[in-house]
Amino acid sequence: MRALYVAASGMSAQQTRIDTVANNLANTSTTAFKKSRGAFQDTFYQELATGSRGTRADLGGGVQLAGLEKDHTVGAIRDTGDPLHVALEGPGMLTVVGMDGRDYYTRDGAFRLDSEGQLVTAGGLQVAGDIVVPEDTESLRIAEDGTISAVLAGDEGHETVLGQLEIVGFANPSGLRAEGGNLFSMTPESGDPVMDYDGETRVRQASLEGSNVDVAEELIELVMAQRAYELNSKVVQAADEAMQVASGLRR
Amino acid sequence: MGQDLYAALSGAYTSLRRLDTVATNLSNASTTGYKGQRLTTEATGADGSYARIAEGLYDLSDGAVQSTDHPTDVALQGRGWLVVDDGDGVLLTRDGRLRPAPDGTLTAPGGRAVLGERGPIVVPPGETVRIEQDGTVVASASGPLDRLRLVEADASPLGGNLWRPDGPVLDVPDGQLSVVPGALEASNVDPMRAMVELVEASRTFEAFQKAMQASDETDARLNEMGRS
Repeated sequence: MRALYVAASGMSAQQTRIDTVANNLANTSTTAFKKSRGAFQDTFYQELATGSRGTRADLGGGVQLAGLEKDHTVGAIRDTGDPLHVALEGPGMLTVVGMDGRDYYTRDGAFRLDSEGQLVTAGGLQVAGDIVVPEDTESLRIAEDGTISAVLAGDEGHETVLGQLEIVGFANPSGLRAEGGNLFSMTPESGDPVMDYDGETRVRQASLEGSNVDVAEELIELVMAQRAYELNSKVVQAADEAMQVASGLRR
Repeated sequence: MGQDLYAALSGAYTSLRRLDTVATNLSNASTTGYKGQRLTTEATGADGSYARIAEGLYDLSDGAVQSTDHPTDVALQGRGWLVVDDGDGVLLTRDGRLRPAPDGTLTAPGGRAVLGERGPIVVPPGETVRIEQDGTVVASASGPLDRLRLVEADASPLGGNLWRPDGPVLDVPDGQLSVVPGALEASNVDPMRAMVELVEASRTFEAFQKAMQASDETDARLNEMGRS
């Protein structure tokens, strides 16, 4: 009974859609969260019959998940007033150094200082560029290109450059792997990080980027997935009934 | 023993294949660019009393346009296809989820290069790319690279949202096919229609089962007559 397996593949595809919506909705207030969407494709086709006039009929095997893709559209940027917070306008990403020493990429610029004055992410990872803010800093300025400068006590308004945020871009950001904790890592699909990608990305100080999840859109996706799940389950029912009818042949 | 029993069996068989087709269509309710399928049957056998599957027909009408805002997503509206490089030949697709590969080549789902009018489209390193209304692929610094090639052809599905051309692949005249950037074409499976087909296929199957049973009962009576 092919219809049973085909319908089962359809139900599992819709289940993936529902799971994705659940994860997106759970992150409506996660800083710089990027929503995901499942991409589906039909599976193999088998030749079923050749008609008398050379026509062909193929029967499909159902549906499969081609991949979950992150939607990298920019979320709404809001002011926070914290001079250590940064949001990115444009497609770039900030480089941070993971616990394992590898580079990770994020758009979550909710930075803070650790006990030694080192600029770190909200999760405590070091921001690439080894930026240390001295204790006697009076004010801090982060320029559009990511240069961080400070006015130190007694310098009478003279700025000292502390370092620069490493902003990179990717040929195919959808190919980045989400590592959790708002971090992404590069994959063969995303390509290597390119420094100063496109020159398009500008840093905005004292702001954070919101999640790009649109609740209304997710709810519609949820309703559609639920209905499609139901339709596929009706096929299971019909296939089951057909088998029952077939077994009723011999009484 | 009844020839009618086997005639009914052939009908039952074709109804089950129809059920399989409805299942395939509904399972692909959220597959980008999917085209619904149905089967036609024809009479066969010496006196034409048997049924068999004749042809798989594809409903090539447009699916709904779903906005994604992705700069390299495209939805096609109208008859025709995007062209995908397959080594010595080409494959066709309506799934416009185009992405640059690590070497910059713009690829279709499945990783094969999508073809422009001048062949594969390579995005220069370090540049972003977007697709415009007329299918022109534009790089952020280098400007227009090429235009997506749009063709017309009879085709059969291969799976993975790819189709194999059955005949000549012809370039589409301007205006027949439009490219909607920042969007994808949804599956064109109509759930209402699919449910009607599902009900029809199961009821027809049931009717043929009844016919087989009736034929069996007639044979049983004949056997009893022989005994008395």
